[in-house]
Amino acid sequence: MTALTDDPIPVTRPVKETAERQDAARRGGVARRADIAAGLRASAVFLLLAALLAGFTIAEPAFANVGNLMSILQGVSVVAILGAGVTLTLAVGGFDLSIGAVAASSVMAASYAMIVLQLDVFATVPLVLAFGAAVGLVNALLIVRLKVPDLLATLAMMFLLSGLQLLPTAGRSISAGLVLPDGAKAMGVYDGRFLLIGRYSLSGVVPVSVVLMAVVAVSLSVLTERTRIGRLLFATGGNEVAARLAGAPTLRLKTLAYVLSGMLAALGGIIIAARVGRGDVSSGGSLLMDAVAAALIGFAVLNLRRPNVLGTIVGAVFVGVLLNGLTMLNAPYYTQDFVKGAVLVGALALTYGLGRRTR
Amino acid sequence: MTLPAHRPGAALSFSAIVKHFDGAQALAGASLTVPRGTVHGLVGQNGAGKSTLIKLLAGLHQADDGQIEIDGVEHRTLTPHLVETLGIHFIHQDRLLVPTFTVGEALFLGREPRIAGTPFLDRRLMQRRAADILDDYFGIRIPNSALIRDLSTAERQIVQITRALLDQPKVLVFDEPTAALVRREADILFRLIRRLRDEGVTILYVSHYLNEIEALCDAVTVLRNGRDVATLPLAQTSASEIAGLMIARDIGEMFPKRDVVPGHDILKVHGLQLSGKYHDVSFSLRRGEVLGLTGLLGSGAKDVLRTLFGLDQADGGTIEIDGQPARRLDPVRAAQRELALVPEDRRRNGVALDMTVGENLTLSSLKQFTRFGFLETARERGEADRLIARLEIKTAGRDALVRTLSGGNQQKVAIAKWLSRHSQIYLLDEPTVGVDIGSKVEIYRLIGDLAERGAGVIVLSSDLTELVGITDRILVLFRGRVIRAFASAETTPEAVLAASTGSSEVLRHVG
Repeated sequence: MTALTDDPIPVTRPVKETAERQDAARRGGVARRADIAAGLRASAVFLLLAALLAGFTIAEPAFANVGNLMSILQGVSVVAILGAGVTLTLAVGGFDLSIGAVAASSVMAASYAMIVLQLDVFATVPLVLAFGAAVGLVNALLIVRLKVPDLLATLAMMFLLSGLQLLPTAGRSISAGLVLPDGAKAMGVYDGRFLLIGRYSLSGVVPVSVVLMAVVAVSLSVLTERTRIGRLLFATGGNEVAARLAGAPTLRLKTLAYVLSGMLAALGGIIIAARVGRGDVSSGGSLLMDAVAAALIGFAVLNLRRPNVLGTIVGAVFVGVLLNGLTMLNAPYYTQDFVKGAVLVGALALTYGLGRRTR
Repeated sequence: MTLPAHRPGAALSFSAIVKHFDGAQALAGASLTVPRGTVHGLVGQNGAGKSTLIKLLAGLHQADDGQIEIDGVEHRTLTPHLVETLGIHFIHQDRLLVPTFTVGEALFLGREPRIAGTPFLDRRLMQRRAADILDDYFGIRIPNSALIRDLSTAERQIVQITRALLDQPKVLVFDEPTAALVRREADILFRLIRRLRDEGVTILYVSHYLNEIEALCDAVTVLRNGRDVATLPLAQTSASEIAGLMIARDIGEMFPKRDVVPGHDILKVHGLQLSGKYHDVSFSLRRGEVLGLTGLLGSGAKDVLRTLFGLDQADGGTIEIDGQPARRLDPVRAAQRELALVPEDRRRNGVALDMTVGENLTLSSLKQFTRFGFLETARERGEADRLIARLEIKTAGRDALVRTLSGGNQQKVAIAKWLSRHSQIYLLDEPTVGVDIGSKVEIYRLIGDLAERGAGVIVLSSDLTELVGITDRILVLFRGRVIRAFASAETTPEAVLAASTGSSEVLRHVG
């Protein structure tokens, strides 16, 4: 018996390389055209984004100043962060419909923590993130343990949360001086340091929320694209049985995706709370749809045709740029949803219709 | 369409049928003639082309070349609907019935009788006709209101046959009808088949069980590698003769020689049982050994493999891996104890279609390409390229999606993925089904390599030539029990086949 070697399958290298090269040379013209087409598809979203930036700048030079660009990024940061969460759940073959409600109830939770419980920023932020993680954990329990279909489980959680956030204050929004259901007056105020999360800009240029978005984007991109866990997340969504047989702990991976999704939604809620400075019962209305749209537009980015964090962020920015530019050109606000919808339809057509042929 | 029922001649006639799938030849000029009013058997090993032939007849695929005649009339294209109008019906094991339908709805689906002159269903007529046939042919009563999903397998089959009989069929095709039946139910089925033949119905009977073919059929056609190698009257033919014809003899050079001295036991199984699947299964596997496992559909061989990887939990018995008892195995724990399973249904269980070839190839061995949780992409890509070259996987490259590959190449991806993993025990479920000859040899060599570096390998296969060629020992399961063990060097595929089909001398031998 031979000793165990490092390489499980001893391998001989093929001697076909020269033949392949000749073959490639012969097909040269066709191949080059196909490469260009593939390159165009891969960079389509970036090219369109560049075209938009150029077009808006020509039409309205004020568009291109740093302040406006930063305000675009600040505007999309919450949607992008939530979209990253959607991306994770899509990767494991699931779907989290509860993120909008998690974000909204996190706004309420943060306000309640500071105004009623009189906590400071260092207690409030971990508390709210833990709240998001807990919601994700419950989602995962429903989906993984009780086998409730993901759409139904997270839809139910969405309803539950939008009701739950009204209970502690009997349906009232939370701001300083709130009168509690028992008649007492809440004594706390928003911690000034908490408000900085939504209002401070580094060197007066880069808003904290944009930095947070960048941190989320980079760390989750690395997690999903560069680590074993990330690969196994996609494998779980790609073929759960195959992943399980390969020794991947698929149930734990799904749980991880939902917990992270919940925490990211809570982070989004924290940013909103820090921006508006009060707990509004009606906040977070269109967050879910916008985040889902960003994640789906992201499929088209780099022609990956699958959920990917970078694509989601680019998708969110793309929509933000488009809406901001149109607003500057005095397009009425009620055209916004139509524009978002049109972008989504176009991106999906690009992903599923045109991209399909080469992959 | 009215045709005289008892004309002499052929009810069905296939001649020189050719059919390719994804470039792989399933039928290479197969012919089959079924005389009217007879029971005709169709046998062959997996991949011989039986099911392709049946699917062509059912109108589910179209032949690339050749002629199909039904009742003396040539048909260029068959559709499922046309086939049914011609009076040909198919009895499959368990498929083709909607589980949430009632028996009545299932029986009359698509041909519901109406009250004359009205659009309303004639429930009473439906009830009566169904009850008549059930009572007359089977002597049982299944209420029309019962749900299909509440019926036993045998009862579902009866419903299918009844549905066919309502149409006064000319030809009935039975595709492995007894695989899920117990002895007594099978006997009822055989009596029914003989009676139908006596009433003038032509029966085409496809089965792995040679004892059934022997007992039931007037004649049998043997398929091998997509061709008919013989059609014989059963009166003058024995089961062992048929077995001999089913097995090809011209591929002796395919099996690489191994020179391995088996080491100590790496896997011990004692008294393993899973009720309804298998009982009292005991064996051991040594390092460097290749153990064959075989048995017909429903023999329990596949279930034993599933249990070893922790996909099913045994009711009783023990499993020891490398001297340590393994309790409550699940796939994650099995992988930690260095077991690897190559599943059979690779398209469903083996590959993620929307991930790339490279990502699939390294999925099982990802730990080897990970440092501190991060992927070492360069090494990973190198491994993917090596595997693609080694198994000659036809793909645009490692970045192509597995979905774009042909079926055979998807299989190669699945196998390469598992074999690249560093494991101590490999469980291979039909590793070469649907793979062309060249790749088969490559896979045999890989299996040999695994054994040579000290792993224990269990190969489950119904290709018995392959099994005898590449294994050291073979265990045969029949109806949930290990009925024979062979030393591969001292046996023949025919002997193994005889054992796995429960041919009578073996059963006598076991008692």
